[in-house]
Amino acid sequence: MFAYGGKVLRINLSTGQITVKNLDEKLVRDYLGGRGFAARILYDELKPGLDPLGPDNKIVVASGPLSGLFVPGAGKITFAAKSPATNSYGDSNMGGMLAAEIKYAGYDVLIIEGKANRPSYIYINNDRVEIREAGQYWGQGAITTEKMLKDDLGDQFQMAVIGPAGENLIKFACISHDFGRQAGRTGIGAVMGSKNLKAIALRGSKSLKIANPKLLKTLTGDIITQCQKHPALKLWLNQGTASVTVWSNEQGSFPTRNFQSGYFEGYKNISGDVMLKETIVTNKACFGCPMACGKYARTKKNNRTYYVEGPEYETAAMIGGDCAIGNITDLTYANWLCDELGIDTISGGSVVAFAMECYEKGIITDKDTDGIKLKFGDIESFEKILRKIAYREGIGAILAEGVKIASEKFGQGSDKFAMQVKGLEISGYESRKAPAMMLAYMTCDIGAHHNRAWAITHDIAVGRDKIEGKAQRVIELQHIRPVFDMIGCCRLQWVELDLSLEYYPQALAAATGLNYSLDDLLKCSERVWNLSRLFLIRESKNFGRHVDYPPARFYEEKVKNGPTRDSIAKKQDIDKLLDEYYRLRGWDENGKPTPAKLKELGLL
Amino acid sequence: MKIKLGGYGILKNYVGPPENAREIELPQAKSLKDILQEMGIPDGMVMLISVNDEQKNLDYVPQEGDEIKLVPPVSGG
Amino acid sequence: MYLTADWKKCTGCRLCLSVCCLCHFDEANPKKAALAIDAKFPEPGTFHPRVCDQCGTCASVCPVEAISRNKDGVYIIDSEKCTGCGACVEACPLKVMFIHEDSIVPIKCDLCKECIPVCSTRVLSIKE
Repeated sequence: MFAYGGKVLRINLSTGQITVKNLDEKLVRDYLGGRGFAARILYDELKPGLDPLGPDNKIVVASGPLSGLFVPGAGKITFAAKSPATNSYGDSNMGGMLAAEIKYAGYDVLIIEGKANRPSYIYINNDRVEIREAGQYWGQGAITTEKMLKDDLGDQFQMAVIGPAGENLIKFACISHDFGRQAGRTGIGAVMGSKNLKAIALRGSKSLKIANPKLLKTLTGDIITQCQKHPALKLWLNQGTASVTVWSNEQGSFPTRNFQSGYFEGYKNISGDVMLKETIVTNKACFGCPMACGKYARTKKNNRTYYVEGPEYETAAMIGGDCAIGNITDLTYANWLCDELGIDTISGGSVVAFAMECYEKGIITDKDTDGIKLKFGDIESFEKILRKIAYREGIGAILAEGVKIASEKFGQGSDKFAMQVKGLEISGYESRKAPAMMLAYMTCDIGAHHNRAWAITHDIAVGRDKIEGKAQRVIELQHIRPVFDMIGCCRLQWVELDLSLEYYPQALAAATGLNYSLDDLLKCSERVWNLSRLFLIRESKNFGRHVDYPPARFYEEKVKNGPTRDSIAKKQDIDKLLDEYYRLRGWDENGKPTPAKLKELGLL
Repeated sequence: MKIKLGGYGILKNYVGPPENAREIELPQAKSLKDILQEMGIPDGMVMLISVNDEQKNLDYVPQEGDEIKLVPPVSGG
Repeated sequence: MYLTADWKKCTGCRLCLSVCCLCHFDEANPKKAALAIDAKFPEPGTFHPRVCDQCGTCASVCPVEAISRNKDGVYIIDSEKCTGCGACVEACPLKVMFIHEDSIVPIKCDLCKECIPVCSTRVLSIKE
């Protein structure tokens, strides 16, 4: 098998058993890799209804066929499990060096089962695999832990670690790697914590055979030259995703004060320009990436210097706008806090913003917060509440469950502004005047995440109030973008530098010798999309189209100010979007895939 | 006055890709903002403008022979 | 002629390592490349590429004279003659000769220049 590592490594933390099996060729054919492998394995192996934080849950770590190769952006790896946030299939994609390293160790997939009886970490050095004690790392911050492990094992090892939030089973705890890359979403960090697993340390030095190395070299050489000529490369190298902050505010799509508004008056103080002037130290790339969106930064606060990668756009939106933290020093520091505690900045920002609004409205008071006066824009109360969440102290224990469950506990109508779908907090785009983007959040298979279908430019291109045709575009994107998560590459070279999609099947053929057309790849992607839907149906006690509804704020409350001021989504439009979406997908009126669709995809 | 206008990503649909840019005849000088508006390119679709490989903004008034490339917004992750 | 690196521009993407291995061994493995990148994180947060400056120390310490200088001033290992003793690797002042378990012959920069154009921040260049 060319380009694949060729092996699946299974580690049972309860029994200590470690097994290695060959990668199944049928799995490769139908699911390609990465997210495809993860969805299939978890669907087949997880007992329905199991506790995501119990020992029966499994974590699948999967790279793709192009991960680690001479391919632009070939550094993406998927972490997946049954999500404690959504109680359904959850995955999160991470850049950095791990996707490459795992393949050089000879594996495409790691399956982690059971629960260690004491704090442990997994040590993988090519064929040598051990479950080691992690007592000395337990309780340490994520950045600190990674540094300690590097010091102990050597720089050649790549680590995936959790911070205190993961240890304490915070439902939006992330997995951290490479001092600034995270598998942030759906709380897989808490699943690691529930298994007493502090870290995975990995080193690989084996070679991957390439079907046609000369062709791969030519194809990629040409495509990199194209990337280098693109006028956006410079902007991208200078500011990364933070370059979108200004635009997003101009469009009124910047979540502000818990999505009360789509425009943050202080946005100019947290923009990419300001970062460039004040905080950025190094442009930091993931494996094989020509555009280096990572902005490694430094800031001084309380007489201490903090180093952190970011803030990237999502952090600027969800902490900068949504919690109204309007200066770059505080925002960078907030980013560091989240990274060290091991909290996803998207959900973390949303949860704190939700708490701030609850406090402002008197739904929670000093008595609940132990005297913390939560206030939008106030970094001190942000830090205090974030630490309470990470250690599940007082009200932190409720907020640690995410906004959905917290709003159920707080009551008093707070569910209307608990900004989530399916239990996952909405990421950084206010969508009341962007029906395609809203539909993308509503229907995203892991809960409200933007990366499956970043559709807001389509809204702007064809008309922001228009409903017709939006579902079609969302579905197209939901098939295209997850292909990248399957082949183990970053999508941003395609999105931002306009790299042709046709390159990927060509590169895949040159690397693996497997011939897929672009349509074949999209078919695999549709298969995974339907499979994750089946997972959701299987895990839902009361499945129906209500699982795809946005929070009431989107259709009951107008945007407060900025360019999208007074806009609101109409309930009948939401249903119209869903009807069209289900119909085009070959699903019934309740959002269940029809037997005909499942047969077409080989899932029945 | 003639200029060449090409676009990346979604903007290709309006002005063609940079390697096959659309040639536009301008009877009089006007700003890029006006030109794009007349072509029906919505506000917010253009994030970066490169004129002969130099960055410009919407107020720029094109000159004879300019090669203009339009870049749509990035995706923020 | 030799390769030089402007470390301040390096983003740590490793495309140079990937293309180096692909060109010399027809396979993928950044640990089989004739250059390396040291990542200094979390502080000070910088990347430091290590590239061969063709200083010739390797040739001077080779006990079997397996390393010789070509007309461009580039030191090349004769893999037939090399016994894999590792003296050159040990002596290399910049630590840019690499041993990999696949072969006893160390990996060394032959100045093929394939790494230069793949770097989008133009870290690498040739010095005469």
